[in-house]
Amino acid sequence: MASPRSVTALLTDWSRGDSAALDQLLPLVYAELRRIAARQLRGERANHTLQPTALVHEVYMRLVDQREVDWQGRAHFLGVVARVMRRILVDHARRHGARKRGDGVQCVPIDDLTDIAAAPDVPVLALDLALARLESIDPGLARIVELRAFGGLTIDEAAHVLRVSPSTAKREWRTAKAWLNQQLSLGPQA
Amino acid sequence: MTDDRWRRVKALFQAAVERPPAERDAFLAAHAGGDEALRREVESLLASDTNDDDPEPWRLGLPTIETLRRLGPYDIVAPIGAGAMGEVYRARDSKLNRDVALKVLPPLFALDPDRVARFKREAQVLAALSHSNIAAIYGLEESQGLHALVLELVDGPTLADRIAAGPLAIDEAIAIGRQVADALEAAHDKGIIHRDLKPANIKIAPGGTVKVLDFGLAKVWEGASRDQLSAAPTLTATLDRERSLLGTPAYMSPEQARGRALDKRTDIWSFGCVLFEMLTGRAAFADETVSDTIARVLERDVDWQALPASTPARVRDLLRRCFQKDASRRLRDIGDARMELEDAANPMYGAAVDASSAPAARGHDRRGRLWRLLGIVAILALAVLAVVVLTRPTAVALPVFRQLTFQRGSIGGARLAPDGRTVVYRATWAGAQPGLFVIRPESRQSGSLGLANAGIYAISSSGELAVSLGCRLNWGECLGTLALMPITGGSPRQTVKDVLGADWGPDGMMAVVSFTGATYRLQYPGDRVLYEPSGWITGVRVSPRGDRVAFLDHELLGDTGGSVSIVDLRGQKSVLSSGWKSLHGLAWSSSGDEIWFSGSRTGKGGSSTLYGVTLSGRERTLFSSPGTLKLNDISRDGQRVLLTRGTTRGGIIGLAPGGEHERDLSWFDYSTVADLSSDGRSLVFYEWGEGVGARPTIFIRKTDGGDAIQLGEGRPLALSPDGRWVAAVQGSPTLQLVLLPTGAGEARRLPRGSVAEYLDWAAWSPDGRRIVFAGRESTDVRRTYVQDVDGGDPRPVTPDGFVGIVLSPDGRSVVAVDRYGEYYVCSLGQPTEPRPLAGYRDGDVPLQWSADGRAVFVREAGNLTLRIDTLDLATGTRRPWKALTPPDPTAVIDIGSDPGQIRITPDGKAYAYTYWTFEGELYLAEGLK
Repeated sequence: MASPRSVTALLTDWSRGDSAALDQLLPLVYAELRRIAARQLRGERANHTLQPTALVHEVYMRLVDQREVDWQGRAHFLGVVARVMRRILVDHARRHGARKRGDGVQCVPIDDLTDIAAAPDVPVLALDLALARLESIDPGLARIVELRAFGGLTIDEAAHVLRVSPSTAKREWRTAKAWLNQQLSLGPQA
Repeated sequence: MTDDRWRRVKALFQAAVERPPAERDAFLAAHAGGDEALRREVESLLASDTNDDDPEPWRLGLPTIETLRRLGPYDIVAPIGAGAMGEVYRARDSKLNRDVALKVLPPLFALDPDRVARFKREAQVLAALSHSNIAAIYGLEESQGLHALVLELVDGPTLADRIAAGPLAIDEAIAIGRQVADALEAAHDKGIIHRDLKPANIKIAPGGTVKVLDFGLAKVWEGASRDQLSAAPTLTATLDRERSLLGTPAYMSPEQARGRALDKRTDIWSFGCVLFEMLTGRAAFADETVSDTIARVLERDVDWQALPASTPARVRDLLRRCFQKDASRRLRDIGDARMELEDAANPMYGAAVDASSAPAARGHDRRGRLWRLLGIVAILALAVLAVVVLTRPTAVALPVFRQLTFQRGSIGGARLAPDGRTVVYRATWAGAQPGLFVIRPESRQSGSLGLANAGIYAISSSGELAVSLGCRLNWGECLGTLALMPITGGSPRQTVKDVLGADWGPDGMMAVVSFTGATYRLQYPGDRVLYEPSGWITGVRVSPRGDRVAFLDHELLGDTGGSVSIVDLRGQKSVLSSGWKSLHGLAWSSSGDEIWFSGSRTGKGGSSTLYGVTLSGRERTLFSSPGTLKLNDISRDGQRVLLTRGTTRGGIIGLAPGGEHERDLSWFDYSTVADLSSDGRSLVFYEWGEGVGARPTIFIRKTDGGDAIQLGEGRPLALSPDGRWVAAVQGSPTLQLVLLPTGAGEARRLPRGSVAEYLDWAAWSPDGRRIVFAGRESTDVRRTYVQDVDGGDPRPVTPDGFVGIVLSPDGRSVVAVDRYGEYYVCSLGQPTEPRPLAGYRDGDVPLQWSADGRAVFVREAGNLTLRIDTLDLATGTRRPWKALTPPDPTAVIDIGSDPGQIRITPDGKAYAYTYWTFEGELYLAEGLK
C-alpha cells in the first residue's frame, strides 16, 4: 500500500521535472482511485453514480501528506488524477452503458467547474471521443478540459499545471468549451 | 499546415470573443483576410461559445456510434480499433446475418454533400473488386448523419503482428508474399492501386488465407482531403493522427515520398518492403525520424546482410528489382513477382543459396537438427511409455506423482517445454535469491538458468522461453519485463514492460496481460485488446486451437478470489465458473474442451483441489490432496500435469511478560492469534486448517508454553478480564455471539437484537459486565454496539458507518474505522462527533490502546516485517515500538495483514502474532484424467 510519504516524495520529484516519478505515481494513484470508486459503486452511494470531483479530492486526502505539499503540489497531483479519472469514468460508462443502453453516466456536480462532466446531457463517452480529437489538433486545449472536467482543478490550479498564466488558462478553457460545444452539437439533431 | 490553420482559427476566435457580440462580425470581416472558410469556422466556434459565468448545460446533438449502437441494418457489436479514416467497429448485418467491419467516417465528412457523393462513387468502384485475397468493400451505409464503409470482417492477426513476434520462416514468408502479389495483380488488372500497402494492412485469416485491407482507400481519402478538408480542423486532424499512427512513411516508394504522380509500380516497391520485412523482421527503410526515413527511401540501399542466409537467390533477386529507386527500372508487373515466388517455393528452382553465407546457414541447420533430434528422443520416449502402458495389466488407473524439487523453499510458477518433460520454474530456496531453474528429462537435478529474480510465463512450441525479468511479486505473480530467450540459454531479448502474464497461441502469437499504468489489459493476438478487467487476471492461457483465451478473473485488486473465464477473439467474455474464494492456476486440457484449474470455494489459505470445467460450464473434481495444490501446466498430449504441492502454515510467535526470547506458540497448522490476556500470560487462538478439519476451533494456552486446551467451535474474539470467558462468534456468516467458559461452566448465547451479522471485533468492558462489538444491521448499517453479558439486546453506541476496532482501557471510547478506512476516536454512547485519529498514516492499523490511555499501538503498512509504533493520541507523535520478524523468514508469505492476528498487552510487555508461510515442491503427475 502506498504511504503518503512515498506519494508525496514522488509528487515532489515529478513536479521538479523527474518524469520517471510519474510512472511510479500513476499506478499508486490508480489503485487508490479504483478502490474508492469501487466502494462508491458497491452501493454505498445512491444510484450507482460516480462523483468525479469528490473522488479526486478523496484520493488526494488519502495519498498525500498535506503538510509537505503546497497548493501547487496539490495542483500537480490533481493533474495526474484527472487523467486517471477520465479513464475510470470512460470505463465505467462503457460498462454501465452495456447494461443500460446509451445513457452514459450521471455525475453529480460538486463545484462550479464540473459543468461538463456534470451536465447529464453530455455522456462521458462522447466527451472522451471529442477530447481525443481535440488532443490531436490542440493538446493544450484538451489537457485543460481534462484537468477541469475530470480532475476538478480550478482555473488557477490548471494554469499552474500547464505552466501558463491564469488569464491564458481562462481563455484556453473558453476556447476548448466552444470547440467541444461545436463538436458535440454538430450535425442533424437526433 | 493544419496546425497553422487551427492556430489562426483559435487566435481569431480568442480575439473576437473578447469583443461585444455586435462588433464581432465587423472584426472578423476585417481580420479574416478574405478567407471565407476561415471566417465561417470562427463564426461557428463563436456560436458555440458559452459564457463562463453562465454554465449552461451542454447540448448533445450529434449521434455517435456509441449512442446509436446501430447503423442501418448493422448492430454495433464492439470496437475493433482505429484505422485509416476513422474508428472501426465489428457489427452484425441483421439482414444477411453475417459480421462485418464498419469504418465510421468522421462526422464532419457528412457535412459536405459533394465529398460524400465522390466518396460513394469511389467506394462503388472498389466494391467491384472481388478477390479471395482482398478484403471486400460491401458498400457505404448512412444513417442519422453518420456514414460508414461496410467492409468484409477479417479475423486474425495482421502481418505486422506476426512480424512483431520475429521474422517469418522463409517458406511462410514466400507463401504470404504470393497471396499478397495475387491480390495486387487482381487490383492492378482493374486499374486500382493500393497506395498504402504495409504489414498492418495485411491480415492473416484463420486457416492462413491472406487478406489485403484498405485497397485504394488511401487515394479516395487523399483525393478528398487535399482541396477541401483543410477548412475543417477535425477532419484534417484525424488525418494527421492517422499519419502519425502510420508512424513512418517506411513503405512509401521514392516517387510517393516526393509527391509525384503514382502508378501501380508504387505498390511493387511497397510489396518489396513487405517481403523484406517478413524475412528480416525489420522494416526495410524505417529510421528514427520521418525525415531520416524519407532520406533512406530516396537515397539508401536496404541492408542486404539482414536477410537470412538461407534466403533463395530468386527472392533476393526479386527484392533487388522491387527496390529500384527509379520506377522505370523497377519490376513492371506484380504478376512477375508472383511467379518468382512460386518458383522459389518449388524446391527444384528455389534451393539456390548464396555461397558466401553458407557456413552461417549450416549453423542454423545445426540448431534445427538439434531440435529434430530432441523431437526424436521425445518420440522414442513416448514409444517406450506406450509399450509400458500397453503391456501393463489393466487396473484402476491411479495418478502417479514424481517429485521434481527437493530443497526447502517456495515455487513461484512453472511451465512444461514442448517435449512435455523439461520443466522451467521460478523458486526461492532457503537463504538464496529467487531465480529461474530448469529440470531436463535426462537429469533429476535442477540447473539454474542464470537469471536472478526472473519468472517464467510460457514456453513456445519451438522451445523459446517467455520470461519475466526484474520480477516484482504482485500478489504472488511476477510483474516484470517480458523477454524471450532460448531454453538452451543465452541472453534474453526484452519486449514488453510491466507484464503480469503471457502465453503462446498455436500460431506463434502471444497473449499478453500487461499493466498499462492504469489497468490490466489482455491482448491477443498481437496488440488486439480482448479484455480489460476491473481488477486483475492471472493464469492466462490460449486454447489449443487459438480461438479463445482462458484466465482467472480476480475482480478485486489484491484478492485471489474470482471466476474462471474465457474470451473469444471478438472480445466476448464468458464466465465458466464463479464464486471462488481463491484461484491459483489454470491450463487447457489437451483436447481443448476443458479448462483445469486449482482453487477453493471456502478458504484463502489452501486450494487443495484440482477442478475441470467444460466450455459450457460443467464442473468436475479431478483430484484432491492434502495441503495446497497449484496447477502449473498440462503437457500438449495431456499425459503429464505439472503441479506445485505445498503446505500453507500459520504459526504463532509470542513473547511472554518478562521473557527474554520469543517462543513458538504454534499448535496445529493454521494457528491464528485471537487475544492475549492483559497480563500477557494467556493466549486465545484458533485453528481452521487440516488439524481441525477446516472447522474453526478455539484454544487457549499459556504463553510460557504448556498444552493448549480446546474450548469449542467458532472464531474467538476476546478473553474476559478475569480470564473465565471467551467471547466468540459462530456460524458462517457469523450469526451468533457466544461466551465460552475457559474452565467449568456452560456456554452462553447472547441475543442478537437487530444485529444481522457480527464483524470481526469485540472487547470486554474493564468490569467484565459488558461486551463492545462491531456488527452489521440488516439495512447494511455497520457500527459499534454494547451488550450486557447478563441479558438484553445490543445497543448501538457509534454513528452508522463507524466500526470499532480498539477499546480504551476505561471502556468509554473506541478507535473506529469509517467506510473509507479513516480512523476516529468515538466516545461511546455520547452525542459527540467522532474525532479523527491524529498522526496516523495511510496503511496504519491501530492494534491496542496503551495502559495509560494516552497512546495507541499501530501497525505500519509493510511487507514481511511487522513494524509497530505508538501514536500519541493528543499530539499525533509517533514512536517506533518494535520491528518483528519471524525467526525463519524462508517462505513467509504474509505477516499481520489481518490486524486481528496481532495482539499486544496494554503495557507493551507481551505480544503474540501469526505469520503465514508457504513451502512447496514441484510434481509431475501422470494419469490424471
